[in-house]
This record gives sequence, structure tokens and C-alpha cells, in this order.
Amino acid sequence: MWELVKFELKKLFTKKMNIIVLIVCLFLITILFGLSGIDFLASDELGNNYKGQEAINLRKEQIAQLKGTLTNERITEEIKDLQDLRKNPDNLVVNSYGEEDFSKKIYNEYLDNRLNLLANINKVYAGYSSSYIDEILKVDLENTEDFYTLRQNVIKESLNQDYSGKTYTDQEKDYWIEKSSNVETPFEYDFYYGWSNIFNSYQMTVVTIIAVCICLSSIFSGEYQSGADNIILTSKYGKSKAITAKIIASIIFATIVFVVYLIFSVGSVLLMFGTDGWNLPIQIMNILSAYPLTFLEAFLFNVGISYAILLGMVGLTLFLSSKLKGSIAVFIIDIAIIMIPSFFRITSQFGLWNKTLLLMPYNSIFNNFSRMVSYQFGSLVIDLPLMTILTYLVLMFITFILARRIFRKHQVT
Amino acid sequence: MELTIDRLTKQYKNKIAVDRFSVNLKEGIYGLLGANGAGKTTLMRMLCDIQKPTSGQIKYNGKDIKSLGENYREILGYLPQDFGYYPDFTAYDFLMYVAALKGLTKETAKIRVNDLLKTVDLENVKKQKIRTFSGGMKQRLGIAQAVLNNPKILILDEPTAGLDPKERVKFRNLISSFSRDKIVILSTHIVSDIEYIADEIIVMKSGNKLLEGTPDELLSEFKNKVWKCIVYNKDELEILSKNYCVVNLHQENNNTELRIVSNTKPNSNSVNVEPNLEDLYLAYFQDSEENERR
Repeated sequence: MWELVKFELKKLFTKKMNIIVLIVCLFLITILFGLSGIDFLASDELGNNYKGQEAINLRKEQIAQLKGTLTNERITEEIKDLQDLRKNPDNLVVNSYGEEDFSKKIYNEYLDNRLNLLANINKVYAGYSSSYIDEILKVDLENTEDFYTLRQNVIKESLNQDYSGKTYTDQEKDYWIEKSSNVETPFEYDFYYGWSNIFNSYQMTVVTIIAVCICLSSIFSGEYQSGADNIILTSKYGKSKAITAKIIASIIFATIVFVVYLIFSVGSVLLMFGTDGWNLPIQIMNILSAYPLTFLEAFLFNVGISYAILLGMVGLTLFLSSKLKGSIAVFIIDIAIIMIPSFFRITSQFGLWNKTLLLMPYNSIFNNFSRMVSYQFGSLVIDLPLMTILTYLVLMFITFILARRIFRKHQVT
Repeated sequence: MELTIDRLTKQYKNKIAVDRFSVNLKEGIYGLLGANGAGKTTLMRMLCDIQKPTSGQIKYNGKDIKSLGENYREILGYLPQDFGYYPDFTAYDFLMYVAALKGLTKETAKIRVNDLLKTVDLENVKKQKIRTFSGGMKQRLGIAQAVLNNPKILILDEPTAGLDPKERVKFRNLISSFSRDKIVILSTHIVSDIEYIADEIIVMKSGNKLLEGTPDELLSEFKNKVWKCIVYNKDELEILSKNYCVVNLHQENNNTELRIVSNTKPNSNSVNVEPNLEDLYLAYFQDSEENERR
């Protein structure tokens, strides 16, 4: 069996077209991820702008001054400092919308490196609707509640809201409240930009799936096209082990490509930003996330999701390849399934249409763990990341069985 | 060892490719002779279990080949008409791959592959990619893969296609050497391919079995029916061509020498000659060949 797997891998890795596709896509994904570092911008207190590695180093130094535990006292202090700055008219200008805003000097000296932290704190007061700092400017610090209780209340409120007639079920509410209560508080704050940039670019992992789908599109159809099906299907193991070998080789091939691409893409970001922040909670990027995960855990979760999607798409490609005689047709259908759903707008986290769209490859390949999307089967509640993994593993098993069956029964013409 | 084909039929929508074809095959070389489109390839594919018959059965030693599955394929060797290969594989790798498909252990495969590469004269190029091979080299590689598992049933579909006359002779010798204790079925529309090596010839036309027998048996039917005559003028040539089955025509100075298959003497100077398989083939397939040309 392993001898057959070895030859199937040899077919995949020696095919000229595959070599070209793999090299081009590797280059593309590395650039797409690497751009987050190459184009990274930061400015110092004097307003001098920096780009790339210099900017990353500067921002690291700036964030180092802000690192620490986000206790109630620290958060109150951050808000108070901001409100004090706002009270001084010398710090303000009228912006192009005719509204009062902080002056450039304040931006450079104080706000620029704090903006992400403050905007994140702001969400607890503004709910899911805002990402800027308007709400914390209005907060009455004399009568404020415990910050983390407030955060949990915002999550509860959003679970109890009516979304155009659609609401969370009681089981779903319990699920999300429990999940969110497992988030460890208070949060530690430090430099995490490497991980946030990986998250922001992670959807580009779709390039890996596309590359794998192109290479595997001929795994069965290529045999039909070349006439090698005659030889395979008349050999002893042609209708049994040879098909299993093709499936195993496809999984190995996809895994190798996935790992290599991941090393190059994620590696290019971490090489510039470093691994700092791996043990910090993802809530310092999105404070209202209900998932109790660190950046590293969230990243690995995303890797698991994208790997499951990849395997599902491998299964689908094999199925199409066994059914269709041309590898181009296989590839076109694959691309359509991957890309077309991304053009439809997901209006909410409710309804079959939205929930299905959320599970489509391009939409589900990356989860920033900000949405509370769940699927309920009886009393069982499954969140979107887990549902994605399950969906694609089921898809993989079904399509592998179908591909096996179709190739075994293939009639040579 | 016995391979029984019982009323085998293959129908594609409105066309019947093979029509209630029955034959009983034992050890020996069988030449399946027929014009293009006679149904030879379809019949062979059904024998290899890669095309499903519309009706009828194929039995190996009394058992349906469908139920034998892997056990049947284990004793089968097949060289298809359009033999698919992997252009980026070397000849050695390709044969090792087919050996793995056929269930040979790695050690056995290495010995067998090297032996066969020598036999088919590809030993010196075994590390070359198949994409660099000539048509003849590819065909020899195809033959090697078909016999890798030392099959009891060897099915060769138009195996000499693309071979030059020298390679054809080599191929015939190769098949003869492989054929001991085997059922070898060799389809062709080139008479000379089977003339010397086939123990029995099966003639197919429009999906039907037209004739079956040893070359001598088949040729005996044409005894005293093949004539050679010389024609001295154009008019007579036209009349003879129109009214008789002319299997050969040779121009010499102002005269034309004709070879004719006919129950009666075509003209006064006609003399009986020994029939050969080409006479038989042309007599049966002249219509098909003409139709094809048209």
C-alpha cells in the first residue's frame, strides 16, 4: 500500500503544472502575509513616520511602556487621563467633519500607541456598535461598575437582543454566557501585533486551498484523460488499494503543502513581529470575544479550522475528479465553491442562509472569535469554529467514499 | 484454464458494438481480426472488466469474472490501444508503479522489472523520462507492463500500432515467448501481426463473430478461390475491378497483375494461387475499408 502511496505522491510532486502552481502560490501567500509587516506604519512622539521593521520595533518600545495588568484601577486611570486631555482646549482642534478632535500633537505624543487599547476599552461602554473612543470620554468615573462585570453584561445584553425578529435560544444564551465567564480576568496587556496581523491576513490561507485543489484536480480525471485508467483498473489492486493510496496520498500532499505554506506565511509575519503576546488573551484585541483563548490557542484553533476546510475541499476535489473527465472542470467548480459565497453579504448570525454562508470555505477559513454564532441541534449547541470543523470532516468522509465508489465503477470509454 | 464468453453484448444507445458474441478460449494465442469499428476494443474492455456488458457473461474456469474481482485481475495482463503513461516518470519507475498495482512485492518487482526492461530492449534508457521515448519505445514499455505479473490471460489491443516493420517482428517474437500456458488475445487489423503467431483466428465484423478457426482451417475455405491474372487493357481492368474482389493490383509496364478472390475463374489467363490471410481479410472487409475511406 505504502509503495502505491509513494508513487501517487511522486505523480503529484513531479507534474510540471503542479510544481509551477505550488511555487507561484507559495510566493503569493508569503507576500500577502509578509505585507502586514512590510507595510506596517508607526510614528514617534515627534510625528516622524516609520515603515516596516523600524516601525515594528518602535511600536514594540511604545507598547512596552503600556504593558501590565488591566485592572479596574488601570482602566479607570487610562480613561481619566484621556478625559483630562479632552478637557484642555489647547489639546483640541476642529476636524474636517466640523467636530472637536484631539490635536496632532496629542495624537503623536499620547494617543497613537494607545488607540487600540482605548478603542477596545470603549467597546465595553459602547457595546458592539463602536470601535472608537467616544463612549469612554463620556463615562462617569465616580459611578462606574467593575469593568469585567460590565463586559459580561454587554455580552448578556447582546444575547438578549432582538435581531429583526430573531433571537438566541435559552440554550444558546447559556452556552455563550458560560463560555464568556470562563475568560480569565483581569487581562494582561502587551505587544501582540504579530498575532493580530496573522489574524488579519489569515483569510489568505485560501491560497493554500486553491493550490491544493488545482494540484489534486487531476488525481482521477488525469487518469481518464491519459488513458492510464485502463492500466490501473485492470490491475489487481486497481479497484481497491490504488484508490485508497490516491486518497492517502492526497491527504499527505495537502498536509505537506499546508504545513510548508503555513511556515512560510506565518513565519514571515512572526519573523518581523516576533512571537510576543502568544500567551495573552485574545480579548486585548477584541474585548467582547466570548472565547476563553490566548492568541496562540486562537491561532492553533484557526489552523485546525483551515486544515479541516482543506481536507473537506480535498474530498470534494477527489469526488469531482472521479466524476468528471477534465481537471479544468474540477478546478472551476472548486473555485466557484470557494469564492462565490464570499460575494454574498452575511446580514446576521441568524437564519439558515446566513448560517450556511458562514460555513462556506472562504467565510469560515478564518474566525476572529468575535461573533457569537451557534448551531443548535436539539439541546446541543455547537459554536461556529467547531461546526466548521465538523462540517468539513463529514464532507471529507462522504466525498472520499463517493470518489472511491465512482472510480471503482468507472467504465473506460 | 478456460475463458468462456457467452452471448456477450454491448449496446450504446442506438449502436450495437458487440452482438451476442460467444467463444470458448483455452491456452494459446488468439488473433482477433477485424476492421476498425468491428467491436474488438469493446470486447477486450469487457474481457478486462472495465466496461460493463449490456448482457451476456464472461467466465474464467466456470466462474463469473465479476465475482472473481481481484482474483481475476491478478491473472490478467492488458495492453490497451491507447496506453496511458506518466510523462514525468522514468521507464523503471513506471514499471515499479504498475508492479505495485499488480501486487508484486518490492523485491520481486525489482528483479522482474529489470528482466523485462532487458527483454523489451529498454534497459539502457530505464532512467529516462517516458516523455522522451519514441512511439515504439512506449509500445514496448506497454508490453512490459502488461506481462509484469506473468499473467495467465494476456489481452493486447492493437499492440503493433506505431511500430516499424523491424519492431513488429521483434514484437511477434516477444509475444510468442510470453505465451506459453497462457491465453493470449491479440486484436489487430494488420494481418501479418497474427499470421505467424496465432494458433487460432477469430474474425469480427460489426460486433459479430464472423469466423473462428486455425489459420489453416480458415484458409481452406479459400482453397481454389484465389486467382492471379494479367490484364492487358484498361477496359478489362475496369470490368474485373467492378465485378470481382480484387485484393491486390500490381502495375508492370503496360500490363496489370491482379489478385482476385472469386468462386469462379475471372478470366482466361487466371491461375489458382495459394490463399493467405490477407486475401481472407480483404475479401471480408473490403466493404468496411471502402466505407471507411469514403
